[in-house]
Amino acid sequence: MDPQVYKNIELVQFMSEVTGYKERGWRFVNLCGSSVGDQVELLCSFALDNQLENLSMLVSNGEQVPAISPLYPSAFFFENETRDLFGVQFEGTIIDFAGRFYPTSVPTPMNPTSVEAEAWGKGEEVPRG
Amino acid sequence: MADRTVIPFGPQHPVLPEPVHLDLVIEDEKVIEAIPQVGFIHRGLEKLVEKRDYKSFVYITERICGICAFGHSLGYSETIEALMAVEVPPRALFLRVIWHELSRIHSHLLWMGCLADGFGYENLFMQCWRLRERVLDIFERTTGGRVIFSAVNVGGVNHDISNEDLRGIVTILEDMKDEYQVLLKTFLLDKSVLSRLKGVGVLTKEKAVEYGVVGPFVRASGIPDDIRNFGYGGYGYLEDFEPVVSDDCDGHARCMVRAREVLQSIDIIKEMVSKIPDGEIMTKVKGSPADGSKAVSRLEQPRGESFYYAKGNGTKFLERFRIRTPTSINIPGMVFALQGCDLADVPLNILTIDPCISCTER
Amino acid sequence: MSAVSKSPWVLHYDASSCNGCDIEVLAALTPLYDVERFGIINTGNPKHADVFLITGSVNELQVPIIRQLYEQMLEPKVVVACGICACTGGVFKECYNTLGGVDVAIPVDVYAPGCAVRPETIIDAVVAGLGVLEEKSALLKKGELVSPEMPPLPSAADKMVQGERVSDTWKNNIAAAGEAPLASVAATSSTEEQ
Repeated sequence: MDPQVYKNIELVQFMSEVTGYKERGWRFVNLCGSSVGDQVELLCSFALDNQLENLSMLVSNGEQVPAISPLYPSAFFFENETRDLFGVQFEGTIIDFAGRFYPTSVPTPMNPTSVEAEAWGKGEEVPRG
Repeated sequence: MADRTVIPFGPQHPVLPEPVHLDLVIEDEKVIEAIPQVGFIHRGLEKLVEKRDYKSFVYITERICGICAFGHSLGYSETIEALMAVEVPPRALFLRVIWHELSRIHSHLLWMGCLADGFGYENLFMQCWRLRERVLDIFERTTGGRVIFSAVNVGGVNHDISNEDLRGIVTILEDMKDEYQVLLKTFLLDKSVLSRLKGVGVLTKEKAVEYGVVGPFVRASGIPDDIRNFGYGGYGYLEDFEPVVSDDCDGHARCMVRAREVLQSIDIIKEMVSKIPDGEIMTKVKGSPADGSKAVSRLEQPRGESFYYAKGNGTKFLERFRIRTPTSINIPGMVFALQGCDLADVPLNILTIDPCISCTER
Repeated sequence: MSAVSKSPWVLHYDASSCNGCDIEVLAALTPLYDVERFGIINTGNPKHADVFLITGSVNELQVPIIRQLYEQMLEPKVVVACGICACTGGVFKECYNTLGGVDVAIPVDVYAPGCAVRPETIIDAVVAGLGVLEEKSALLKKGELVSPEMPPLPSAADKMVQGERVSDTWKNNIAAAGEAPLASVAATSSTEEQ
């Protein structure tokens, strides 16, 4: 089983932590969101051999998150994905699709404050279009 | 400067079994930029955790992708076991490894066939798929399904395989091995295969590290990255594990790595069958994941490392389940590897990373 | 029996399937099941195809693409929905990004259920489709073939067919490529390449 290492950090520390991983030669693994109340919790994972560490931080609606894709190019996929599913805004993504990466029929379906997502959860007709 | 043209590639394209769209910005015959457009298969499965309890969601995870079906249900189960601290009986761990390695054989043979089809070697395609049917027969006999088998659940496995059947599997694989050697020889030595794949889609070691690619893609660039190496789950019982690596960094190297992994998987299955203990196959799991509990786990799938993350909220429905599939991290690598290649090599470049789009988009 | 049903060519497209049905469609073409013995050949070109094998449920992005493929096929043509997702939406029916089965986008002639659909079922479905093909080709000869009506478009997809979303993505992609004049190239080319 993988080690379960979670570091709770503030958003302002994010970039310096990521730079640290980059300098120590760690590999970018994952970036994803999940909802905590009205906020989105970002989880960013890095690995080196059998070590695996996860950074987690809370992002409020409308808050800008610095993009890590200038450091880890493959992160552009995940930044665009998180933007489309959670509505988290990233600043400086290298290939920015500006919210058109996953053209979902419901805008930001996983955002905790999304009206459509709430309707979907209750089993009501999802307002489309 | 030559004129720039944009060539749309996909979503429907003869070499693509699945829809993905690429805008290829080309100058003369050289690709200078490839921009992916995904979302054609996005269904929103991760959000279904809110509607299915954690035990029945395992059947949804299998339907994330029909090729990696077993791997995803295994990865999900391992994550929930980590979340709830469930101890899995050893026999179940062994059976999981056996099925997982069989899936790897079937997935690699499928890919080798698709690759052969991609460069127009129809005969080789048919031979690979003919051989693959033997593995599917094993699946059908042991689980009842050909591609989606509902064999794993949280706490263990749903079906047992009798020791007699296990020995039968080894006999079938031994038979297969002889026929497979002929295919292997073609893939490794045939002139037409070599001339089509050698030097195509080079991704150097440094670039592979920079883009963080995984699976056979990175192993073909000389980096021995393989989650099986860490001995998680049933892989801890293996005597010795050595990842298959190639230093050539091109399309042929990726083909070679996968071709050799088939033989390696056969050896792993043989070793597991010779060591498998008797006993229970399922631990009863009671209760729900605690509020705020988190778990991550990684698994080496046929296409590379996949990453799972689950978060509980005290009910039997998970708060969040996330899958980072191997293709989603390989696509950025592929996009960068496509820069500077010939237009005619684009389909092969895409095929050699073995993209699995429905995994990626869920 | 007309020539078309003696050697129907099939076109396979993955609408938003999990791959399970796709590999079974391909498995039906390979030596164990070998549909080629019925003269069935897989083609990548909709203009050559008589039978449209379509797998998986449909989302909004796919609707215009499936319709385009369907419209590019010449009459007589048959649509076979392979797998339970293509028939009704299956396990994905409840997902937020799934509209339902293939019949929300194009008229379907034969439904082949299963998760994943077995190659035997696919062969049966294609053979059943040949009957429909035969009828249609007889009607075509008499000049009485009426194309089935397209199902009504879901509202958001309607917007997409008018080219808003897809072409916007396109222009954006090109802008990301850093070559502003290219937008004009993209706007005039088709969204799909065979």
